[in-house]
Amino acid sequence: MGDPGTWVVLALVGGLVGIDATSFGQVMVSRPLVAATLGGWIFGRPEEGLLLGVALELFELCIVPIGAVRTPEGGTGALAAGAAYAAAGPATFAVVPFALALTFGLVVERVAGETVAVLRRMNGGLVGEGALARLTRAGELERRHVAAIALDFARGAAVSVVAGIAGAVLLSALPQLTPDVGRAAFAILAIVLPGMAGAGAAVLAGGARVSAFLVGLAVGAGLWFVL
Amino acid sequence: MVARAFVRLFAVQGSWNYQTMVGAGLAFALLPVLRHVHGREGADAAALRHARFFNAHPYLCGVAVGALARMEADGVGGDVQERFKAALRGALGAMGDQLVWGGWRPFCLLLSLAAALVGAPWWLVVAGFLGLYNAGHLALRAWGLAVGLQEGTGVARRLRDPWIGRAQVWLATGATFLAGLAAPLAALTFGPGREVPGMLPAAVLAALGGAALGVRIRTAAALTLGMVVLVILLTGGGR
Repeated sequence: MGDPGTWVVLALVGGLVGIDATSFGQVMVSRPLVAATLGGWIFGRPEEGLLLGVALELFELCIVPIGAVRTPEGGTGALAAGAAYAAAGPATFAVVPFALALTFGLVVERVAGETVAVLRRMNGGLVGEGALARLTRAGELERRHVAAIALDFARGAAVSVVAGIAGAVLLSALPQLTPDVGRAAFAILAIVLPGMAGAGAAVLAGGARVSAFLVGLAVGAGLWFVL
Repeated sequence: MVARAFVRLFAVQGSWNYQTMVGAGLAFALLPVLRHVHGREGADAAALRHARFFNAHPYLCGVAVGALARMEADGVGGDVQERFKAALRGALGAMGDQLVWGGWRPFCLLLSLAAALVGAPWWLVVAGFLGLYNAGHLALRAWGLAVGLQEGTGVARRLRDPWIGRAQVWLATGATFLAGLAAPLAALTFGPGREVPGMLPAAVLAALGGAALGVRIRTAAALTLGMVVLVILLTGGGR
């Protein structure tokens, strides 16, 4: 399950991933592909983290943040899931624990998205219209703006470490599964993930560029026989 | 002064809220300029005025900050600046959403996903994505601030540059191609692969179904996955 120092590192990275999504940087360490790999890397298993990141990223592709729309927070969810899988998952790839970690990541990103909404309402109290009407100095505005980033860091750290520990406990409690069960779950993933890639294409294409998607699908199908 | 404003632009969404959105962030990024132009005391009123409602794509807020910095230095009145901001925010939001969120980011992500699915090492996938994406990200932020400073109120002309529309189309087309490419590869990586007959047609059909249904399929797919895992665990999974 990892030593306490490793969980502290996860909390710090969780804070960075949390602020990267909106508050500071947006250099995309908060994308599931990167965050889940980081989670696995912190616990010494980046390859497993990357696999989980690829699957979570396919779910994330069809979400485009526009204006004030509320979206799941994929970064902290992926970081926690990657860390949990690396900390408590099996030593070699096993599909049911993997699918459980993937599902867990999708649940955490929903919960994390709600914490973002709460933070944004708190920010309204710091620099919203009412607060601005009472402010007289730019320096105070500056301090409140920086405080909002610090709050987001703390939120990201807390979500990542609490969810990471919960996920590790859940995965530790998994029973031993037969290979037949594993194969059944394999088939589910092989249907769900291409479906999500298709959904991502639909959002990107917006009704046009269907031919590009079909050509990509044909090339991918060709690679099926080559790889 | 301009360098400090550029660095502060990375925190433009730091206090994002449902009332003023990035208004406080805009004022935060402009403050070094306001203090230079108006002095420390005189900057207060201007900063609080700029902290009112504003929204734009975060990477393109530099266009507004650059143009407003120029207007402040030229002594343009507050009312004119407010009308300028109101006219600009929709264009910056739409352009950023299409160029970055709907183009550059999914293109870089899907390229990296494809690399991961054909077996590239984890560090190359992550470093490749972050390096490629942020080369474009930083270039766009720098371009935005420079254009704003150069053009001032005439910045709208530069936002209609033909290269922007062409880039949006090419990036979205490339990303859509890569999404199609990734679908069978995901089935090969995460599924039983070539051992189970019919897996490839099933994956292709699933991808086409996903493309037909779009984002609506997301919750259904997540619930299906969760239900399958739950059933396997509740039935003991053949312990």
